[in-house]
Amino acid sequence: MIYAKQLTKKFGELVAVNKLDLFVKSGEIYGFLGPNGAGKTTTIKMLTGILKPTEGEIKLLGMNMENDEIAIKRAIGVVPDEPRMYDNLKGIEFMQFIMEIYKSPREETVKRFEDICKAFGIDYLDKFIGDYSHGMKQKLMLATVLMRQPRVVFLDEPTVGLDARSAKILKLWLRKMANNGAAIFMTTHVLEIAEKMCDRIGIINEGKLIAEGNLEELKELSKEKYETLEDLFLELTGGNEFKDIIDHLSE
Amino acid sequence: MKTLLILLKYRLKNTSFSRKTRSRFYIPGLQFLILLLVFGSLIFPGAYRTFSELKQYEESLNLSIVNGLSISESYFSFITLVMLVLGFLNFLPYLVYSLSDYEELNFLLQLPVKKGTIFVYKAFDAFAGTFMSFAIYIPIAFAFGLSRSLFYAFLTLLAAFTGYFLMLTLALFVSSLLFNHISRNIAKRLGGVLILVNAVVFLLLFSVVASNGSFEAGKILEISSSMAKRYLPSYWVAKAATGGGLEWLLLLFFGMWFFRMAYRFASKALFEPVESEKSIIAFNENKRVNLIKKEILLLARTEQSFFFFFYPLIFSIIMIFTTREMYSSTLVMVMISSFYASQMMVISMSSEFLSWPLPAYLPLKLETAILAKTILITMIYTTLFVVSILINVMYLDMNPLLLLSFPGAFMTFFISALLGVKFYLSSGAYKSGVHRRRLGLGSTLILEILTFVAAVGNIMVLMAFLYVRGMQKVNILLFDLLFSGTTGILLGLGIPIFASVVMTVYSMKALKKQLRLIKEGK
Ligand SMILES: Nc1ncnc2c1ncn2[C@@H]1O[C@H](COP(=O)(O)OP(=O)(O)O)[C@@H](O)[C@H]1O
Ligand SMILES: [Mg+2]
Repeated sequence: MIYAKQLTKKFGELVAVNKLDLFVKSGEIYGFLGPNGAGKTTTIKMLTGILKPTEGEIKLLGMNMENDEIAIKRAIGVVPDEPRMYDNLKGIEFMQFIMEIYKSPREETVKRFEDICKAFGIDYLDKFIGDYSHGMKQKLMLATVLMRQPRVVFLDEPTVGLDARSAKILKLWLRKMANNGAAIFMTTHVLEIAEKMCDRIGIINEGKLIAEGNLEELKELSKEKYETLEDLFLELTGGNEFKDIIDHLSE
Repeated sequence: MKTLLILLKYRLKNTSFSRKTRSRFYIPGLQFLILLLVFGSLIFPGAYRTFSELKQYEESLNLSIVNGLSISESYFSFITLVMLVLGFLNFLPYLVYSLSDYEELNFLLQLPVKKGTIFVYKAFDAFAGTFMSFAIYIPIAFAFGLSRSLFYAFLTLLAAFTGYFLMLTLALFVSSLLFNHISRNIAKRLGGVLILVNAVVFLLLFSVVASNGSFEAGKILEISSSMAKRYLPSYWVAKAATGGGLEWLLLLFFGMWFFRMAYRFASKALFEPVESEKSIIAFNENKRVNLIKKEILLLARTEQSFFFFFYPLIFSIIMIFTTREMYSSTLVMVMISSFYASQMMVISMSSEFLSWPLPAYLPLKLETAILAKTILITMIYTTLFVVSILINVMYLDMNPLLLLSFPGAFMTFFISALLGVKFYLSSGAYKSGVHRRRLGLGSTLILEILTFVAAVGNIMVLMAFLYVRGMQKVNILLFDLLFSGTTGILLGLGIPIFASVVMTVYSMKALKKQLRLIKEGK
């Protein structure tokens, strides 16, 4: 469902994403794990067609952006890292706008939206989005993406700003969607979240994919040299230089 | 007090969270002083002469005192009234704006500063934006006092300051009441309406002064004395300036009282987060928000909309009735409208890009979304243009044929709006973290020139052409020379069409280029 080959993005001299090969199949939740500045957001932007790759090929649902831009955009859902919406619309108006512009089937979308709102505790739809806090915006953004039940979902650091309960609900909801055949691609810089929520994890550092596999495979990889997966993550992302500090802190 | 000074110092130095663009050489205190000096040197001599003459006149005739005020006093009280009303109309919307700036307010609330201090600081902030009427009033007050003696000059200044203070506290009081009863969002929009009202009052006053240069002195004095009412603060100021004790008490008492009340209401309304009442989702109204509906909602809720849309129309209406001449009033209107169309696009684009990257993910081409905005704004300005022409036709008996110029108007506003988009995008304002809602001075100037060219090339030529064709008698020789006969048809229709095509192609191309740059992440 999500396919990328030799994906590269250069910003002048800086190679933000370096020859990335990715594949996420239907029913899978893929976690894209890496430290800040690793190139996760840049990768999502390229995959979702708002940033042109310097090199490489992308296919979503068997289509490519050049020819089927609108069809792809209609089929996928994206939750960007910053939940920015129109400040001068009320939550409910924003939802109605999304529904209208994606031509979503009314009744079932509304039904799903109401369920999600209940689950997330969204009870501020009649207020202007400009008055929302970060977390409130994030939840509304998630709700308006999930209500459409897209077949491919991209989430960029979706748990940032979410309370524990909402994060849990998000996890369950994504699982349900994956079980119904959706492909889900989410980024995070927190190992724990990737561990808990994802079927398969790719670790990216400085634009390069340096390890990939499911939890068992990654654990296997780490057993040879390290005690925990965390140590592996730190080592892979160059964090071992800070190991002393971390050890000191955790004492 | 010390924290307030720190905040103010910070405000004057820092421009990052007030989105206003300022030059690097900005020295705020100096600016006020210069403004005061300029206005002072312009206004003071005339005002001084008037008050001196009035005083001699009173003394020589031993004129009666109306309502406890002599003629010169009631005249001063009248001017005070006008200035205080203007100041109020000016200050209130700025204050509402300043108080509804969430970003800054939220930031300030994190600081270890008392809420009251923040409130006073915000009031200072708003006062800085409305310094103008103050700078006009002070020289007049000084002139009035000095026409008596130096002692009275200072007493009058003191009274004027106190009167002005009373007006400011009244505005503070009104705005705090406002925020107590309506949401910040609505208050913000109300601020937009108030700015328009303020502009219209200024405009009317100006046109009255300009058109009635021969306004009889007797008439003004008559009005002055009829406005010298004991219950008006302006009366108190005039009395206080000439030594009234009770009036001093009244001024100070109400000033303090309004301030206290404002302080109280404001710290309740502004700084306590509104309890969100649990709302049940109401879908039964079956509302649909499509692309155009969304644009309309956003436009209607933009504070600046009222001003940018209605100011050109009101301006042209006032010009129609004061000059009784069509071509110049339409010229001014189209010029203002076309520039405002580009500015409205800048504002509208910035609200779109504040939600970036959402617009890029919607299943429609970015070009389509931008075009929807452009067309909407173009249509609004075209409609306002047609309304203005209709007024001309009805009240100045102009030929209805002139209505045919509306395609020219449409093209003018369309091109201006596209240029606004182009300049917005090329300013890089869309990049996250920048979020400018205005263009820099340079871009604004170029935009002004280009929209002017669009206006002249399209609508003004077309109108001149229709002018010649639609009327037997033309009194503008140049138009007659250019636009009669067959070459006239060629010129009159050719220039607008040529200008439209060239400028549309140019702005479309520039726009496409900018959109491509965005995609490449530059
Ligand atoms: N538009 C841009 N221009 C230049 N450099 C960029 C741009 N966007 C991202 N970068 C750089 O690319 C690198 C990867 O950024 P990003 O993908 O946002 O990382 P993250 O993994 O934290 O999401 C960073 O070094 C960042 O500074
Ligand atoms: Mg990121």
